[in-house]
Amino acid sequence: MAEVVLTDVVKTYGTVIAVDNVSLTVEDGEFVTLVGPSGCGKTTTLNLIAGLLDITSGTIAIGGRVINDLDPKDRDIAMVFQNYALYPHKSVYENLAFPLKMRGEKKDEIERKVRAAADSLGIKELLDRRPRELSGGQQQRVALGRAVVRNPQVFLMDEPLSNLDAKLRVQTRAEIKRLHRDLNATVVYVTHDQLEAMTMSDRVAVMGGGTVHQYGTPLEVFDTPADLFVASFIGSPAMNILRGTLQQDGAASVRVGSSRWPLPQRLSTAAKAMNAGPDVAYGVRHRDLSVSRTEMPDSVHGIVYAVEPTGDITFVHARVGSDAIVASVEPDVDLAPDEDVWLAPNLDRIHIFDGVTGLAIRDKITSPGQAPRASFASEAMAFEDLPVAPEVPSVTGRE
Amino acid sequence: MATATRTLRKPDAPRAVGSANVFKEMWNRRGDYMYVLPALIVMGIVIFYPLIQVIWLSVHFTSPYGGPQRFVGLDNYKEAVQDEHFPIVIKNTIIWTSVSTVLALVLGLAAAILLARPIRFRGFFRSVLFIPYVIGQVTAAFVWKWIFHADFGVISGLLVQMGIIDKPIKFIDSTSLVLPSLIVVNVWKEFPFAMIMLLAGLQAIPEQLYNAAKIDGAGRWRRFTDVTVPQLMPVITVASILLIIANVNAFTIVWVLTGGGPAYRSQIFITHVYSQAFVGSPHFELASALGVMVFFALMIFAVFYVRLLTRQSRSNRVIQDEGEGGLMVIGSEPGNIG
Ligand SMILES: Nc1ncnc2c1ncn2[C@@H]1O[C@H](COP(=O)(O)OP(=O)(O)OP(=O)(O)O)[C@@H](O)[C@H]1O
Ligand SMILES: [Mg+2]
Repeated sequence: MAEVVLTDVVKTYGTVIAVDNVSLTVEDGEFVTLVGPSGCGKTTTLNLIAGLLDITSGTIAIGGRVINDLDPKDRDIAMVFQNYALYPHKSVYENLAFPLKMRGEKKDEIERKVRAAADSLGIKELLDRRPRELSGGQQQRVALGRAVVRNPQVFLMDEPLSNLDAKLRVQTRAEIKRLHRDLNATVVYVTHDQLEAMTMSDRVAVMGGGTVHQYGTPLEVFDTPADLFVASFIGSPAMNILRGTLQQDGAASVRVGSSRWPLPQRLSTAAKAMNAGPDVAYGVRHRDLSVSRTEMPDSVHGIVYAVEPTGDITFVHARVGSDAIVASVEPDVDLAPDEDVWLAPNLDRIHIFDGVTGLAIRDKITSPGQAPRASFASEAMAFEDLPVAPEVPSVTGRE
Repeated sequence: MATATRTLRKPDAPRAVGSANVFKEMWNRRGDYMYVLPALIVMGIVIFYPLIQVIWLSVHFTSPYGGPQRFVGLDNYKEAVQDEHFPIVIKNTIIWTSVSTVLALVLGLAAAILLARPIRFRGFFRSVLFIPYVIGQVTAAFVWKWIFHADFGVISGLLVQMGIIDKPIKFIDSTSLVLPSLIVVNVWKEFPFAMIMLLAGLQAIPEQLYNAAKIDGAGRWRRFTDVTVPQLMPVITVASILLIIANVNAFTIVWVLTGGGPAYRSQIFITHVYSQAFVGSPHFELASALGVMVFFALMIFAVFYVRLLTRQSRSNRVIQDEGEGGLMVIGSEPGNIG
């Protein structure tokens, strides 16, 4: 059993608080990703788990054993570094053998394990080479091999893909995922790339400013962001966020400049119940905006600013008042800059956040994640001839 | 201006330049050389003219009392080598150079490792340890002359006072202690050079390598042998070349402290050359022959080492982008050692 449990972990550098009261439980065999913008404390958290840094306060336990004061080598972990950190003067074989040698294993045992690991990673022809004689992808594999060969309880990976080119990254992403499955190991993975986080993980911890803003499955953090930070960080392109005032008179809406963005009654009620507002932030993802050339009920007028076809989806950038909005349409829709459009948010998939605390305002009964997604086919028909973006899994292939 | 546009245009695609190509390339860019011509001429006058003059002198007989010079082939070389003191000079030079170089590197490495850690007053310690290197050669030599002095020297004085010895030690007047004493001074003077280079090298080692080694279970000693030393190898090589060259060419410390004595026990190559030329009856032709010998010896040595170095840096270069700092220090040299 190798669950990793962080309890109220704090790490300070002088007056800088790098990790601020992080509590996190990684189940045995789970693949958990720490994701967040640069400088949010991901690497620091990982290094605390690894034992490369001393914990200021709090505890970290692996497999039920508090390891605060254990040396890295006694924690039964392996780590893969962003720059691979292979020993440049050692051959690939020696690189893989080094951790085993340090544990005092027998020569033939080492040889057997190294060959097995090299086999499974497809690097057995490279064993005699030096790291500098390898491509980035091959070095990456050797670094993985050096971690795998020890058969640790927990793998820690710090942005292991960030030095690879886009194509190799996608391929290696799948391989690491597969490796995780095959080894049945616990993995704590760090990345600033939210797409990587979403595609690889069982659960994602979204970090910002040293704290964990939300910890949940990829779909949870995507569909029900806990606060503005998560909402704007997860998803590409980012969720449209509009700052405005809550209007409770008559039909509920959020007033942004001169536009009124429609709000379902349940969110208006929730806001009232939470005593939130009147300052709120209105959030809607590009896929949840229908675009039409004619006015629709509950729609907002905008002017097309730019059109970006990507092949399988076309992004429409529009100006609504002084705000820039991103919506998406099917690739065969032909919109031109400066055209008038009407944007209608899907009322089931709207988010609002308290303007002061940034926390999501949500009704307990039907949070957007649980609400059934509207059938785009029927809705799109109603909106004239403009079909809406097709229903694709929200986080794949959109980079 | 054709030349100006030529230098400004985008560099050609990289290609291997063979030696024949080098000259062709130089010819193609002959306009560019006009810019450095003045500097080349000055260099030619101050470097090549004396060099040629020395080589010319070394194959001619020159009477100290004037008169015509006569070509004698390699006779001067033969005579210089057959000199009764030549063997001990060579022996002294080898001991002086090898022991000084090794000690300066070891001491420099130890100091660099201590100073690379985040200890208190690190900047202060760095400056203090660097002092010997910046003190003038002659000044340093005179200070040590007093320290070693048999009657008034600090070391002997202290040891006598503390009752450890009962009569002063004659450091530089003793045939057995003179060379070790001079080596101590030399190491004291030049170890900061090794220290600074190695410190730069240490700081260029990626932290991640140490982290990886820690996680792999390597203790302090294994991290030193398996990360620090191989990563420092290029710097150690450069530093040792420069130290060896400086030590073979050393003159001031020995000359000021002992003048090569007593009884040739501290005579090293360059002080010997100087003595031949300017002490007693002048033998410029012998001095020139010796000078030419040491010049070519160092040339061959330098070429050999530079080759080794380029090979090593190619194979040992750290793959990470941070890893090349080690070679950046090539430009520095143990300037005022000689
Ligand atoms: N040795 C240090 N001394 C002082 N502050 C530090 C130190 N190391 C990290 N920090 C600070 O701690 C915070 C978290 O750093 P950390 O390296 O964990 O960020 P990160 O999330 O990994 O970012 P990135 O995506 O850029 O790698 C940053 O604000 C950083 O400036
Ligand atoms: Mg980081």
